Amino acid sequence: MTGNQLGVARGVINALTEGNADQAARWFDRLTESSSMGSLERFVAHYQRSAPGVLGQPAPSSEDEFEWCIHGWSCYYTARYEEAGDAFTRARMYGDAWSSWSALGNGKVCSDLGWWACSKDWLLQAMTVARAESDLFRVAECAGALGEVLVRAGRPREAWELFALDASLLPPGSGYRMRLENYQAVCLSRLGLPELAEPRLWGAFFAEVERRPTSAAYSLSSLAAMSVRHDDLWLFDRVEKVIRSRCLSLSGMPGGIVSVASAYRCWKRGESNEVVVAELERAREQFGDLYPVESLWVDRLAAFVSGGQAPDAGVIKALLARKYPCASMIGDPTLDAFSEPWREIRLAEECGFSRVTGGAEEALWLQIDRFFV
Amino acid sequence: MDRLQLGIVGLRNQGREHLGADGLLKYAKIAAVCDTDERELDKALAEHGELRVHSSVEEMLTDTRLDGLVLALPHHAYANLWERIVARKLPILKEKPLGRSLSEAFWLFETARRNGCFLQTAIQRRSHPSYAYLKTLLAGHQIHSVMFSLHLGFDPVPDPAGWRGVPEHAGGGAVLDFGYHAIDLLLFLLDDLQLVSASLWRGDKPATAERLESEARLICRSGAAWVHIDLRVGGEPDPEDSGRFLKKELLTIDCDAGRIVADRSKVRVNDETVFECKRGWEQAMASQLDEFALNVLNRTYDQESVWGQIPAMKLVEQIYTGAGIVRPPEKSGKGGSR
Repeated sequence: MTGNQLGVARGVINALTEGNADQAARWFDRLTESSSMGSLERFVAHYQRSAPGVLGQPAPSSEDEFEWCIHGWSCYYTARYEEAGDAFTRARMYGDAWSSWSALGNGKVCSDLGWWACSKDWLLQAMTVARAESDLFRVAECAGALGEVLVRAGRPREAWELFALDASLLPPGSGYRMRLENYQAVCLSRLGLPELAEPRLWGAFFAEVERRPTSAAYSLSSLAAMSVRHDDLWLFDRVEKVIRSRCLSLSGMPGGIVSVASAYRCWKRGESNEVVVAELERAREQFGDLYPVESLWVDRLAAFVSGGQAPDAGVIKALLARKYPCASMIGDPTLDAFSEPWREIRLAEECGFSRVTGGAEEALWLQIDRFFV
Repeated sequence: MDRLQLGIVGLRNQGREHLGADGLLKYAKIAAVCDTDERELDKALAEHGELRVHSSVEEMLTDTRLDGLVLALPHHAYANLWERIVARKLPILKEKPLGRSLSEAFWLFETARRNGCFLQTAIQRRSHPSYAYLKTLLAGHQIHSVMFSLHLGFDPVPDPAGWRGVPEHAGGGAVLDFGYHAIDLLLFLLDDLQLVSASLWRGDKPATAERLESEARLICRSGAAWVHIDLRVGGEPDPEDSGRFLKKELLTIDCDAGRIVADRSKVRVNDETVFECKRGWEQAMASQLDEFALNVLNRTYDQESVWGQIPAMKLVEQIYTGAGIVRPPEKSGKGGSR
């Protein structure tokens, strides 16, 4: 590696440690084409999460742990979960220098698919390795990812503790600060303290709306989800007003969640099933293929609303297991004493699709908690 | 060498533990006790015939010639008493915490120092045979990971009629009250403990200054090691007695020698018991009182046991500040203001 490359690598890593992917990319741009580092390019792309040329690359032909690990992340960000799981497993076969990265990847794949117990094992494994390596940024990432799993699985208190750990490890000036503010606010909402959650979410939205619109979109969609959870239609009215007045165009997960909340408001106001289902179909489009589990949930919700035969929770679970056989990725985590309290937490492998008896539509709406943080 | 004549102020749990160690002392003797509750005095007299009992500190200090005091009072009681006590210039062994807040701790220290009064804090876990053995066992080992659980098994809702139920009097919840023991023990064993994050709970809600914590989860680092501390006034529900909670005190350490598990009755290394002792506090209390007596007799006022409490108090302060809990006794100073 040349001095220039070393300088760039240091700049990239510093920027990533601060959670500043844009700055990392700017550092990377300083490299001339002739001195381009293939692995570092992918490394940056992993954090940018939006470089289709890199993310779409085929599987590596070498037996290189890092290449397979990065390939796993590329697959993860394009919702190719089975391929991602396979790539992370291969990465672990070829070495252990990046094992906290690959275990974190496995944990995220399982988390997205709702395999919470399995996800927890992987994330604890990843965090144990990262702690042993004093890789504080990875520890923070693992804590945040595990917090997300626990809050979705109905354990907001334990999630709060993990988000507190995540927050305390972020360096001052980190770009992730407000993302964590969202997570902590969601925990407060799920702990039955919406009066504390709401100001934090609005505060996070206004702090980020100009600088980091994605983070701001998540703040708004968390407020939208809160309006469903606490049956607060007036809250959703205000969210909608802000979206309109600022001409915001939400897509992906935030867009889908806002559409679900809009559908809920229509349903509560007694509007026709067609109107409700139209909103849900909009949510379905926004979730798209990138969020297959959320799409299945919206399908189920639409079927309930329109009075049709909604798929049984068990059927959906079996379908998911067949489509994404990630359950087979369950590791045998080697955990240390520090991990003990989290290891003891028992989580149901219900993929978010808990059984709902016929007619209990309210409960089905409330499953928004299972899919969104 | 004449044994130091000590007087105990306050005869509830901690005071009685000190009194119970009297028969094991080499360098001190409990000569007198005082408490405002006559039933406690009668009980003490029944168990220790030669003891002089008094209903006030002033009476005890006037009637009995003492070489030192052991103070075991509720956290808030010192504010009014302190200046009168230190004016007597007797060495003092004060039950933990050193103060309800760091500023109060400094005020207590400073007032004692101005009066030429030696002050040491009583922290019994350091002196427990099991943990004293563990300290020697850990020497020279590389520690990676630590988990310490301390569950009291009590009703987690404090008695509103008792001083622990009044935030201003208690000064803090689980962390300040008994978490202090855990923090001090880990500082003793690991030499260094730095806070990473803290979550304080009252029931299933985050604790506040008005609703002090009954549980706390602390994450710390000590060098390269990661330390997890789980404090609960209650504990896991007792499966055999609904409404009650299980006590727990367990320290697990992963180090280059493998896994070490210790409690107050034994130390195990990789599932093999390497040390056993009585679980009770008698020996620890006696060691602590004797150490205090030796410090006084030898005029060794610069021991770790004296100054070691400042890092613990600082950590406690950081925990409350980090959790956004501003505790009532912000200001130290003259008695009567609280």
